Amino acid sequence: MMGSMLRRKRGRVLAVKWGLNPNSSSLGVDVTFLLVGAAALSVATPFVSALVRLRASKRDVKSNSNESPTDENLASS
Amino acid sequence: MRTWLRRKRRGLERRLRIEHFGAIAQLSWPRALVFLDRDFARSLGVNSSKHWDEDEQEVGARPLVAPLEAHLQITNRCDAGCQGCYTAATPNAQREWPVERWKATIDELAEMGVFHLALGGGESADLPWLGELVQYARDKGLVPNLTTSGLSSLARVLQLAPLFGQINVSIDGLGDEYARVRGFDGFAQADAALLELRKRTKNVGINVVVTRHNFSSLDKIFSYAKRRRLNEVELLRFKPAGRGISTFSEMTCSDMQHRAFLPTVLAGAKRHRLRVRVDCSYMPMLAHHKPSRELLARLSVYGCTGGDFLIGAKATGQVTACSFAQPPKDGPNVDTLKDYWRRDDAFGAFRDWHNAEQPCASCDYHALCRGGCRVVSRHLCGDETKPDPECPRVVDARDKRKTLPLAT
Repeated sequence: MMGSMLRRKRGRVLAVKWGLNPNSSSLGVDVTFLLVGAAALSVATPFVSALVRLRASKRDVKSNSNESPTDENLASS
Repeated sequence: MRTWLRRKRRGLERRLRIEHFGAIAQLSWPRALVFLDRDFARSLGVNSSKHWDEDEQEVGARPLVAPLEAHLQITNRCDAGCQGCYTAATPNAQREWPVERWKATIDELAEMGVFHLALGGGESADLPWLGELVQYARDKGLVPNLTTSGLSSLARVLQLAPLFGQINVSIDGLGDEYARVRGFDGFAQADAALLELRKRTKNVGINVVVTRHNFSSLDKIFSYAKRRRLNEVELLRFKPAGRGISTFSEMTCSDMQHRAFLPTVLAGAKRHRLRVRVDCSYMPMLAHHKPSRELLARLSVYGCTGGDFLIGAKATGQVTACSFAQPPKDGPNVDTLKDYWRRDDAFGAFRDWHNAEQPCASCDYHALCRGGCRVVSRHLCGDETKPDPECPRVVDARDKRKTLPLAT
């Protein structure tokens, strides 16, 4: 129960779009993960999650997020 | 070692864009866009946002607050003359935007929070101001990526290579097959360009337009990409756009090939240990094999996301939902995209995918697939709101209707 509460508070990674798309005609998606399936993604997701959190601190975030239209910049500390 | 550490530290720099579902974080190592829920965003210090006034929704339930990437056709000039060129590029394109307008576009896109640029053409490498534009994009925090034929201006691309996130060379077949797909023999030159680019950067791959003529050679193409130590192969469905309209019927893959697409690609990717990307129009061919919907969603594998995850822009500046689509009737130029983006009726059928006909309406994958490729529907059905007629499920439904006995 504590675990689920903690997860709820810390939030979830909903999706990861890997790589960069150089193709100027369409949105390219990496299908290689379909080979390894959900299990591998379950391993990769916490890693990505940790990277996103790493060095993040609340003071780095612009406080006026209501004013900023779309983009919040998190500066690296 | 110190360089490696510096790179890794740089890789942890990230941007966070608030979205209706939460936020999108950009990682430069590993190169990824990470979709976060609101709790995650809050845990990073985002306390509130005007985008969070409504209840939290799933990714894709409504358009993103800005595209993830913009596909800029910064020129439609090209000497190659490929028979299936989807932009019908020629050596003498007119009324194209100068670099100043594209810089204003980058200002607009950066303000909206767009992450990536995909620069194409025409042959963008021939533009003398390409470097100026690419550096400008970097300065504004956007990651520029490039598709090139590798047939001209290689020296310029080599010089600029470190500025690009990814460079892909268009190679639709090996040896003689290149000529069969493109209409001229340019393989040796494109191959030489790849070799030189790979010496300069590891972020090099190839784009392959898949046709009924090269489908059976995909494994050889994967093997070639592995030998050339490329980091990815991107597979593109042949589209009825530009000169591709007149050649579509003889180039598009057969129904059998479409059904075999996913197993063929995955087998090749596994055999050659290669990263393979596919374009959004292939979603119906993926869904045909009923992969886990949750897995697809977590990998951000969507069908037509034109006018949502991505936008296109013509060399004359007009916004399009994707590079193959016609500009919307009342669409703006891309350097004034912001207001149009927020309109409920923006991009017409591309955003109105929720209102689908059968068999899409009852398809378990519709929320991901969004009805397949609008451009193929427009060409084959005369109506871009129709289900993608090359989707195996749509083909089966059509065949079933034909065999049903008439009601008496």
